[in-house]
Amino acid sequence: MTPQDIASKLKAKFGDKIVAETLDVHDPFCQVDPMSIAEVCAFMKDELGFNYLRCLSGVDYMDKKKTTDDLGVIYHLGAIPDASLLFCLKVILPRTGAKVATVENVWSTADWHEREAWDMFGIDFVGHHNQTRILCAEDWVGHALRKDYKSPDEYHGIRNNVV
Amino acid sequence: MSEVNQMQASKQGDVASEEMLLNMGPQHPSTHGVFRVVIKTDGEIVTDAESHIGYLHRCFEKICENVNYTMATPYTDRLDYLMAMGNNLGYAMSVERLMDVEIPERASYIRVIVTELSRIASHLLAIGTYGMDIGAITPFLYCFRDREKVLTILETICGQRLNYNYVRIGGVAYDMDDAMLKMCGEFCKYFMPRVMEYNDLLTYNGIFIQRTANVGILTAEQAIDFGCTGPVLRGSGIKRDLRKDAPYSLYDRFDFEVPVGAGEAGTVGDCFDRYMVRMREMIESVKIVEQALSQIEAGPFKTDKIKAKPKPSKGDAYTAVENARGELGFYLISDGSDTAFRLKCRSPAFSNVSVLHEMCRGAMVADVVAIIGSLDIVMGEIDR
Repeated sequence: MTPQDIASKLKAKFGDKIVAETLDVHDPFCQVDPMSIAEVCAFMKDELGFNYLRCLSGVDYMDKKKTTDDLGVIYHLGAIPDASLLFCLKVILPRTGAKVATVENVWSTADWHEREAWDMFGIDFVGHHNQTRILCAEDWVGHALRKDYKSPDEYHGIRNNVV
Repeated sequence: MSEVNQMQASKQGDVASEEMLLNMGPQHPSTHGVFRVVIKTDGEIVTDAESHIGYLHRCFEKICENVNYTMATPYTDRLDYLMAMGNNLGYAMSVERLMDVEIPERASYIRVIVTELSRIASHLLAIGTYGMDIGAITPFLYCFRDREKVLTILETICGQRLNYNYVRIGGVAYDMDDAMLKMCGEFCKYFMPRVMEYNDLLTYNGIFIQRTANVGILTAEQAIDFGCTGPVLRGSGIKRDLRKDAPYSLYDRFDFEVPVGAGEAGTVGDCFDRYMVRMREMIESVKIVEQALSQIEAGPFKTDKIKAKPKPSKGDAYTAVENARGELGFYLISDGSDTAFRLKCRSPAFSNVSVLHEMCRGAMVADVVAIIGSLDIVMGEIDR
């Protein structure tokens, strides 16, 4: 199955919920509507054989000139044992109130990956059963991988940002 | 039956089992780092387990957004510090992929040799400490004796024992001379009979088999669902190895097998199978090193097309390599500057350990140690 086949199957099934497609890059991908990502992923798993979520990454697209301040979630899908079956899905979210449907019911491995994305970017995974911080402490303030994040000056008596 | 006896008997029948929370870690010898599991027990049986991670978190990904590509390489050493060569390789390959450069053949051979030696060292530690977790101290000493030999070779090549910073973007840091190549060849000859020794010491030991067979069974479906890779997935009987299935570097030139668990001592996917996969992988790694040593030819050890401060073209790519613990992936977004815009590290042990609660459910409390040990976790890459 070529990336072209996968993209056209997704478009035939989901229509305008597939926002855009880009196939002439290193990892061909489709951009998906945030609240439809769970259905699309379930379809990818059940009908197209993507039984393995390789990687789920949060991204903050805010650049230095601040031309955009969107957040994103990138899903790298694969299959086991067929290593040639690869595809990528992306969702783009507004910075305030970033919300995306959870895919933990499709692949259980998404549970921890989504918790990490929540911890680092403050992306809300709607429907996640236990959306808590995973790498940072529970009482940590802010989301460290956002581009505009400033580390705290003090944490439990430990001083920081001291010159 | 006397009245007193009757009373006692009825009391015993009414004994209500009470749920107890048992905290294990973050400082516990069998967790190989700072890892905490809260276990719910009903008597000796584990009814549920919850993992807590993050004690070693230093936000590796944020650091990489603040230093340039070359400066980030030493930080990748500290992810999986037991197989730092593999991390260097995965990171270097992810940057090279966005730069579209060809790596000289000699450099690729050197990369294969050092990564496979590293894999042997990593598996030796996994096997040795696993024996110790379960109560066998002698195999640990034998494994460390031979691991020391690998570390000496790697130290001769690049001056470091654990955090090598050797595989660089565009090649490797220094060339390997003939004496070093000879050392590797001698080690291969020395090592093959040693595997038999470990088998005699540990693998066929009755107590070891009893402690590991039929314990912590992970089915193939569960393993794929939780994104397990490496020996944990292969122990469940799935033949998946990126070196074979999606060959990167020069791995398509070597002849080697991919060992999978077959339930030799008990059920497919138990602790013994995962252990056995590691044991057999060491033999395959030796085979790869021997073939690489016979094929390597003179030539440059790094490409001259990459400058000190590489600037990959704009774009993003996910690149994965097979590390000792499974699929190590780097998702790199470049904005065309000399610093990564975003670098996400998909660490194999992070996904492997997320399945722990499923494996512990229904196990005995004493088996939790055996299960954690069989996953071979490294906190450096779980917490990043």
